[in-house]
Amino acid sequence: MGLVATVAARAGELQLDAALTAEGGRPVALIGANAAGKTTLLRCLAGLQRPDRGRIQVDGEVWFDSDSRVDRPAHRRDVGVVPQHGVLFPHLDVAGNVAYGLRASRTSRQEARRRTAAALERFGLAHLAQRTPEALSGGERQRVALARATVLEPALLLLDEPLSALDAASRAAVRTSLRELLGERRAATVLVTHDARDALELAAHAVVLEAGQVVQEGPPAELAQRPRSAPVAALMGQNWLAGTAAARDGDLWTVEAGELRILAVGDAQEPPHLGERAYVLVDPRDVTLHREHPEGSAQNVVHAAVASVVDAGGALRVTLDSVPALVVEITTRAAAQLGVSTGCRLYASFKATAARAFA
Amino acid sequence: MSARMPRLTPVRAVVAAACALAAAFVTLPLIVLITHTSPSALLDAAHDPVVLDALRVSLVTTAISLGIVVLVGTPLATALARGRFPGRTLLDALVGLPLVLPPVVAGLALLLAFSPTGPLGSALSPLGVRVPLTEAAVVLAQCFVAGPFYVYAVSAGLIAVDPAVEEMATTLRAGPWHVFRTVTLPLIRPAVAYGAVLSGARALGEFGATITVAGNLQGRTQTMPTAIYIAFERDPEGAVALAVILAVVSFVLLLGVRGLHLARAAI
Repeated sequence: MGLVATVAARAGELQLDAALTAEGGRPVALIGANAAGKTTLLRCLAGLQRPDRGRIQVDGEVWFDSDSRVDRPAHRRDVGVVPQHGVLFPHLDVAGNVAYGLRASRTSRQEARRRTAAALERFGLAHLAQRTPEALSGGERQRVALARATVLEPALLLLDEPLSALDAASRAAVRTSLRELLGERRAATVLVTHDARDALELAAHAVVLEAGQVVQEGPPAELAQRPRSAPVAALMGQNWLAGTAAARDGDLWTVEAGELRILAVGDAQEPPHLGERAYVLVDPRDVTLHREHPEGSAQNVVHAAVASVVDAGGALRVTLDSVPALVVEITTRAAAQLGVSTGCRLYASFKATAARAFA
Repeated sequence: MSARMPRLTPVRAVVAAACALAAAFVTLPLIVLITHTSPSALLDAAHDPVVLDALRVSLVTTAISLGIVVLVGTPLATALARGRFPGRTLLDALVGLPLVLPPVVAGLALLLAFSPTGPLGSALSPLGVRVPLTEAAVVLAQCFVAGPFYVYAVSAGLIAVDPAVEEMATTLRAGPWHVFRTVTLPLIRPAVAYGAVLSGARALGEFGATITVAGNLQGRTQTMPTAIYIAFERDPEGAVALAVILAVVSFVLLLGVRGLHLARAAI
């Protein structure tokens, strides 16, 4: 049951060639940089774009199969789509938007009214039922889009970066709605995102798309801990420092990466080989920042200037201009205490046990 | 709240002058026209069977023309706005041709095409259909000259509709026809109303092509514009009364459409 799909399609310069499965009740996050083919894949699943080749099957029903020339039009697919910008019907009020799919599928008037009311209630929209979309905030619009897509209880729910167009405050509210929704859903869900936190928090499985190809997949936490490539590490918000394995002392490796000499624990499964290319993975949350050279047990200390500071919803991601660049995640409060700002020079430190070296 | 008088800059002076000129240019002749006639002359004209016939022919043929223009013009506008087919640009130019063609030339071309010896007329005559000098010819002439106004207005309205909104509807179980009825049409309603008003007004006022291809038979093909023209040659005072009646009818129709539109918007 759920979604089983292989899709080959062209999207501008990009050749998408990806396989995707999503079991019911286990939301899949589709992660990738811009123009990696995520939206194209979603459009193919929804029936808004025709793949060149492939097969799309949902709950045992074939929606598309290039071999047997099956291509169900979008309106005959049991699908729900939540786009990035909501895309509400401007001429209908909130209730009209939510009820649209029920009316189009000829649900009885009474039942449509009942289900619409339930969906409005569920997403906290009951008091906005008579409003027009232009009178709503971004977060409210996105909740209407969620209610509209899910009121039909589709066999496949497709969410295309539903949080990325929102400001921090409404993002938190919509994220909560989304988490509750996905927790209850028993059917297949695909969530497109470029934010690792969405994947970690909302999905049971993650698929990383890079230039139209699936480069890695697995549980989101595993992807964060064991990325297989720099792009995956970057998408999962991890530091991925590439260098050479220079020395070894038991389990402890010294990796020379750019200007940095990093002391790291060798990976149990794929330890580095002396003198060969090695990678060090460091979680930005395991790195601390200091004004003065830190005393204590941290074996790795980097002195560098702050290149950029980005709000990551409750925390700040600070990028240092070391070579290679090191990303540090600290709480907003810690940042305020330290007085972190672009250009100021700080010490970053992390323990060897927080760094993992592998081949 | 009192709006402060904006400072008069050269640009504002030019804009203000243009506005005043345009307003005067449109209203002054109409005022002269209306003041030129007397209530008694109007009353006489309103009882004149020739005028009543012409008014009836005008209203009936305009209604039929507008119906045809909407029925054929809406799909045509969809093709022009959305279609991806070879010759779309050419079709777009062809649709606009009647706008630049002098109506008399259009009437002559229609007359030749539909005359019993013409290519279309000879095809129709075995069926017992004769177009020139009939009500059908009036409708034909009106559709020819008034159609492009509707098609271009609706096509512009369609281009302004975000395709993502229609796509959204298809993911919500709406088939193509349902999407058109419940999403596209409501979104282009202002463009449709605007196009219908322009097109209807043009059809109601059509003269050159009508008199050429349909002639001037009272009660059959004599419309208000042709009646005004004929009257003007014999009795200029009577023509003025006719003109006032036509102007008033046009104005009432415009208000009616606006009222209808506002009522729709209020629902």
